[in-house]
Amino acid sequence: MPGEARSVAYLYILPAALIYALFVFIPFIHSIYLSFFKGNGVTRMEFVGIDNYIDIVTNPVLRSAFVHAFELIVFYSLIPIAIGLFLASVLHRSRIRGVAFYRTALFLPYVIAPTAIAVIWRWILAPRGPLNSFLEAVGLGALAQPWLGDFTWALPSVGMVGTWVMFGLVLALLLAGVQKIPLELYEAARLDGAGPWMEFRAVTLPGLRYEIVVALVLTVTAALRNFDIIYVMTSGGPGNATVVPSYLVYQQAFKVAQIGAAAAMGTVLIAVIVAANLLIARAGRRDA
Amino acid sequence: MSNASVGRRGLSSFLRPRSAAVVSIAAMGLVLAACSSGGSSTESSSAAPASSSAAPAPTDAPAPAECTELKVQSGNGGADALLAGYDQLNTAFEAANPGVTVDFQVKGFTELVDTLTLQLSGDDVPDVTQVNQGYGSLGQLVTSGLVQPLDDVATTNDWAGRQGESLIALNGRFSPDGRDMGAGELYGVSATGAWVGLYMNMDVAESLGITAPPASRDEMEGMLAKAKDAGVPGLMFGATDGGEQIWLWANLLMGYTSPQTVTDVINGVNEQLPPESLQAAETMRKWAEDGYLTDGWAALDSTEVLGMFAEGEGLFALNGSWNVFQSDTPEAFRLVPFPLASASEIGAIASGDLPWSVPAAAKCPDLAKKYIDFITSPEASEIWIKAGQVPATISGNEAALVEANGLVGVSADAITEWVNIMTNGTPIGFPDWATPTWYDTIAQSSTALMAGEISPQEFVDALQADYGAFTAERKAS
Repeated sequence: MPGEARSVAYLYILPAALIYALFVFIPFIHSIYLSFFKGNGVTRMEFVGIDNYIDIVTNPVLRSAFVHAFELIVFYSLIPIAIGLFLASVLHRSRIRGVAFYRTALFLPYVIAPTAIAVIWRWILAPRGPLNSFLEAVGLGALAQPWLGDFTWALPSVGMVGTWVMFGLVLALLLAGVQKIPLELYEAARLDGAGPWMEFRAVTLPGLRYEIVVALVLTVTAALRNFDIIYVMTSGGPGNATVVPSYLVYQQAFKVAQIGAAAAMGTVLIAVIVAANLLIARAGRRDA
Repeated sequence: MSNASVGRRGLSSFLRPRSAAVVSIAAMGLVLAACSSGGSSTESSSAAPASSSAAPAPTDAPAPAECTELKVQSGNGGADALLAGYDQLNTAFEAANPGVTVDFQVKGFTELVDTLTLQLSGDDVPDVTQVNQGYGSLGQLVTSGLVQPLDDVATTNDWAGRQGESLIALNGRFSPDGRDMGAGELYGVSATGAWVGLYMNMDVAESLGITAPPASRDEMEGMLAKAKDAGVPGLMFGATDGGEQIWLWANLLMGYTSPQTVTDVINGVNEQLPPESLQAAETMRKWAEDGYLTDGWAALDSTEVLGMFAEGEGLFALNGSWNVFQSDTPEAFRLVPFPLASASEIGAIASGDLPWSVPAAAKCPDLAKKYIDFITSPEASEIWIKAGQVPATISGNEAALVEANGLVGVSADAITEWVNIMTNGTPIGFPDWATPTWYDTIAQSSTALMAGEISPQEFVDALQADYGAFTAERKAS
């Protein structure tokens, strides 16, 4: 009887497993296979071994894509979580009227289509866009930049959009978490003479551990696989100042018909994302 | 130009791998509306097998009895004014060939180019189709034996006399193995023209004491300096699409060498870029550093910059004839070839729109050739000009037709200066035909060059690395 139950279970997951295999697993394996070839995917492909992978390490443009992706983690992940933690602890200490409204307003960017967000921000950051007009109006014209065309500012500009998008999600997560921390803990801390900082370190931060892990997983993954915002806002420009791995996958597969190189890039990207998530999950466990 | 923001990125990247023709699609001001009307393209061919397809026949012979329908495939989806011209020509062709109907199917550019190789290797192929220039596209079709030579009809009806051998060669000549572009058999010919030139605001010029377009590059640099001193943007420039940098580099290189040298570069005659490539790079750098370009050029795109220019901003703009704009003061604007070393030399990036080819497996190849001959005839020019298009074929009546159709300013220049380039100068192709990745390489490297991120030598090295590798591989294959 127990054996029978198990086989029935396999039958239940069969449809989902089939679909998963057909549309995710097999293409994934096939794309790893393709990453060892050179060619356009239509005519005959030439086996080149690990050349495509060597390229990712040695070609400065391909390498820089990963560097940019890691820089984006700061904007997508670390800054939102830092601000989120600060606000969560403050909002928790002093109940503000209309919290639900602020929470909704801040969460909104996360539910808007990224393409729409990118179009809006491209407009705001345009050389003659509202941001520069504002800077000039308040006498800070010297700070005005062609933000998305500047080699120094383009990546941080795109990154700040990521912060704006991710912040609401992170805050919602952390606020929910902070509310389930027993108030007694805070009371105890205060009785023991803890100031706001100690209270944060001893009560809030440990209490939010799982929420922080979830926020890290979501935001780090979003930073690493970022495509739509880059594609719409800069297309990797100026020069190669904002190229990221996903954009190169698209470019090599569909623009210059180098399917093998694109597959290798995609494979490395997945490996990096999986590694980053394992790392985060592990750090979360150790703290526990 | 109000559609500048609509899917700019999507549009510009869509344009990226190609140049003229695609841009001209965009230019018509129509967003990528998927105009690819299907029509029932799958009718089983009960007609004669393709055995007759290889046999060339004189084009003025009557169409074989079974060829009552000519299947024509265009990649100009979205370019309504251009398609209106084809519509009129199709009607005229049917009138001139009683019993023949033209089944004109329109696809979007990417749809055409992405599916062409597969489509033409199948059984059900169109009799006539547009193809895309360059090694990556028409070259591939020639290598695979999917298109047939048009030399017989071209010789009989003197196409070289109509359009000039330079234009014919750059649009459609390949060696039969597809390995060498620009010479050999003729596999395609364009019906309309597209060229890149210098837009000039004569009102702004006058306020700076300038009375005529620059005759040489030196003169143009003097005008740019004058504009800068007066606080006027010299060259309206937008770099995010990449096209303008590529055109600027090619135009400067043409001035430091010759149109023929740049043609050889595009055709990949040598594996080394000419040494003057560095000079051209240095000039690009200098113009950017000296403040001759629009503020924020690195974050602006071509369409919005030309829109600003059309509203009266700046002295010059570098753009395509397919982007001629309407204005309240049309006489204030000129469109002329970019100046080279001296007034005696005229050259411009000036190619045809997507060339017309006959697939190897076409069921009615003779009628197909007759059709291509018809839409590129001097008589067709009149219809093209009436539709506001630049006919690739020179009829000699352009000036009169331009006037008769009330075309003024840049709309008139687009046609009359095309004639000037074809008759007194040398047309060259688009530089990015040279390698499949060169468009991106030049676009990205030149932005870095002009922003001071890399040196002129590093710029040339980046171009050479891409170019040398592809050219060597192609020659060795």
